[in-house]
Amino acid sequence: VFAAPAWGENVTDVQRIIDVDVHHQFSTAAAISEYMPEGIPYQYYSSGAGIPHPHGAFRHDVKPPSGGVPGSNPVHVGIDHLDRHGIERAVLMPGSLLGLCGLPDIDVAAALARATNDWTMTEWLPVDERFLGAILIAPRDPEQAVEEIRRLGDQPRFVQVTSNTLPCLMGDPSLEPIFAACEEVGLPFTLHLGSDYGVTQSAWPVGSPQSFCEYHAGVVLQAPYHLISLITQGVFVKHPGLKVVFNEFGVAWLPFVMWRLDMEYRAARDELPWLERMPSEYIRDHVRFTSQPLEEPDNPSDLASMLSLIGGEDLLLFSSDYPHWDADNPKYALRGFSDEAKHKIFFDNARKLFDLDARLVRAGVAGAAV
Amino acid sequence: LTSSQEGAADGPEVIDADLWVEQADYASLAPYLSRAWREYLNLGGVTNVAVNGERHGLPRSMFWSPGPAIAALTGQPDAPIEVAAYLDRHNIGAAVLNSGAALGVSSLANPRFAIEVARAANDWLRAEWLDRDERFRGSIVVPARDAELAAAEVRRLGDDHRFVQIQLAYPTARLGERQFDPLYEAASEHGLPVQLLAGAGYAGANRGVAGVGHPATRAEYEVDLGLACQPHVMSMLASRTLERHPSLHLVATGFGISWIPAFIWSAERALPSGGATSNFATHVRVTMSGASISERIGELLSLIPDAEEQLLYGSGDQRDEDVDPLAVADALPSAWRGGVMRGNAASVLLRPATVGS
Repeated sequence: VFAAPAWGENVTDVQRIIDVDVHHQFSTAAAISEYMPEGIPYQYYSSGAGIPHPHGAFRHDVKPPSGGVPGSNPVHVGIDHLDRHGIERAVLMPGSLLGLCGLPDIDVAAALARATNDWTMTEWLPVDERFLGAILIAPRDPEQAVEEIRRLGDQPRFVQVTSNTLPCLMGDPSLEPIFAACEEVGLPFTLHLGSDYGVTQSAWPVGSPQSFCEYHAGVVLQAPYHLISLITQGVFVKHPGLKVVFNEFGVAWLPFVMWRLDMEYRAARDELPWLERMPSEYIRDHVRFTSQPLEEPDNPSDLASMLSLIGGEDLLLFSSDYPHWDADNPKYALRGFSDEAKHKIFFDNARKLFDLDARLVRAGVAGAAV
Repeated sequence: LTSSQEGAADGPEVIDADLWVEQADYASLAPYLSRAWREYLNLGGVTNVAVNGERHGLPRSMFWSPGPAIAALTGQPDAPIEVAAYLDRHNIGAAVLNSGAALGVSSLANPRFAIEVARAANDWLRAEWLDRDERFRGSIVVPARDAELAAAEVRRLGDDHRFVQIQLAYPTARLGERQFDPLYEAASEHGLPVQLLAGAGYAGANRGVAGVGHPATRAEYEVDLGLACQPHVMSMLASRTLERHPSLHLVATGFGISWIPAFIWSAERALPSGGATSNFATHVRVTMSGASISERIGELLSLIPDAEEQLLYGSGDQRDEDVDPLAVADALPSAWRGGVMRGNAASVLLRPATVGS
C-alpha cells in the first residue's frame, strides 16, 4: 500500500496538485468478468463512432512494464504519473467503459457499472492512498443508477458520481432521480466526455464527422447544450445542494454560454418562471469544468484573460486525462495563469468541491500529520 | 479446388445468393491495405483491442451475431475448402460469398478510409476466395458515403465476371438521393445489380434505421430490419431513379420478405404516376436470407403478381451446419422452386466469363 503524504496546509512553495481525471483501465476485457454476477453474460460491445484514432487512444510511453494497456496497473500509475508530477490525490475515472451509456441492454450496463465500481474498490483504492474513486453509473436505467449511488454513497473514497455521455439533455426530467440521489449522498455529478457510442444519441445530428480531428474538435460542443438545458430547466433550483462537473469538454466556450444565457433570460424570463437568479449565477455556484484539453491560443495568457472575464479561475479543476494520448503534463498546463489562479485550479477548487479535508479524514487516508 | 458433383443430391444446382463465410476483419485485410493505412491502424504493433474495441476491428452492429457455421469459419486457414465441401454436400452450383466487409465499410465515417478498406476487402476476396473455387462469386464492396469513390471501385473490378453485384450496406441517405447516381451509372455500365445489405444501421458512425431511437434488444433490432428496406425502395420509386437508370437492379438482402405485399400496395396508392408494382417487379429482387419462412408464405406472396420471380434463395447470416439450408424450398409452392432456388439468381446475378478475367 502506498501511504499518502500528510494532507493539511501547504508547507512548501511547491504547487499542490489534485488531478480529477486519471483513467484506470481493465488490463484485459476479462478483468472485469469476475466481478459480474452469474446469469448476466459478460458483454462488452461498443460500436464506436466509426472513427479510429490515428495513433491509438493511449500514450505509447506509459505502458506498464508488467504488460497490459496503459493505466491498467495501479502501482505503475502511482509511480509513472502521481510520483512523477507530485500529484497529491487523483480521481480514478473508469476508462474502459466510455461506451457504457451506449450499451443497448440496460441490465447489462447496470451490472457492468456495479462490477466496475467493485473492481475500483477492490483492486485500486487499497493499493495507493492517493487514489480517489468515482461511482460509475449507467444512466439509461435511473432506478438502478440510484441504487448504485446509494450503495456506495457513504464510502468516503468515492468523491463523485459519473457517466460518460447521457441518453438525453441534462435538464430532462428522466434524469431527476439521479440528481436527487447525488444531492442526497452529497456527491457531485460528473459528465465525462463521450459520445456516439452504441445507442446514445449522436453529438452530430446534422451528420457524422469523417476524421478523428473533426470528431475531437467538435465532440466538446455537446457540453454547451447540456449546460444550457441543466440551467434553464431549473435543476439547481430543485437541487440546491447539487454540484455538476463537465469533464474534458474544454472551457473556451463558457463565456459565450454564460453571456448568451443571461442575455436570453433577460429577454424571456417569464418563460422560465422557476429560475430565481441569473443563469450565470447558477453556473458559478454549481458547475465546475475540468482543464484538459485546455484550448491553446498562440498566446497562452489570452485564454487566462478571457476566462478572467467570467471568474474562470474559480470554475476550473485541473485534470490530466492520463494515460490518454492528449494527456496534460501539469508542468506545462495552465501556462499564462497567475500563481493565485493556478493554486485554485490545480488544488483548491477540487479540495473544496469534494470536501476533501473532512472526507480524507473519514476515509483514513489523510496522511500521518493530520 | 474444382466443382464436384460426386455425392451431391439429385436435381438442378442451387444458387445461394447470400452465403456468409469467414468475416473479413483488419487482421485478414492487413496484407491488402497500403502501408500508410496499416500504420494508421497500428496493425502489427502492440494493440489495445480490449479497450474501446472499435479501433482494431471493423465496426460491427452492436446486435449482429453470426450463426454457428459462420463463426466457426472465422480464422480458419482452410475456410475456402470447408465452404467448397459445403457446396458439394448441398449441390450448390454457385454462391455469392458475403464477407461482411460491407457492414464495416458503410459504418466508417471517413470516405477515404472506407474506400481503402473496401478495396482491400475486394482484393482479399478475389485472392483468397474467388481464385480458389470456380463456384465462388463475390460482391464489390463499396463505401456508402461517397458515390464517386464507389463508382471508381466498381469500374476497377467490374470486368471480372466473378463479381456479380455491388454491395452497399445500410447507407445513411435514401437510395433515391441524387448523390447515388454516379454509383448507379457505373453499375449500369457493367450490368451489375446493387445489393442493399441490412445490418450496418447500428454500427460505427451510422445512426440506426429509425428516428425514434435505438432498439435495446436483438429482438427489436431484427423486427426493425424488416421495415428498414422500404424507405430506400420507396425513395428509388418516387425519385425516378429507375427511370434514369433503366437497367438497374436492386437486390435487398437481410430484410426478410413478408413486407413486400404491404409495401407494394402502399406504394401503388401513394405514387400519383403509378407504376410501383411494375417497377418493383422489374428492378427489385429480394433474397430469402433473414426471412421468417412460414409454410403459408406462398399464400402471402401469391397476392402479388409474379412475386416468385423476385425472390432469390440465400442462406443468410444465421447459417447452422446442423440445419438443412435447403429446407426452405419445401415451404415454397412447388412451381416456384426452380426460379427461387436457381433461375432468378441466374438471370440477374450470373454473368458470362469474359476473356482474361
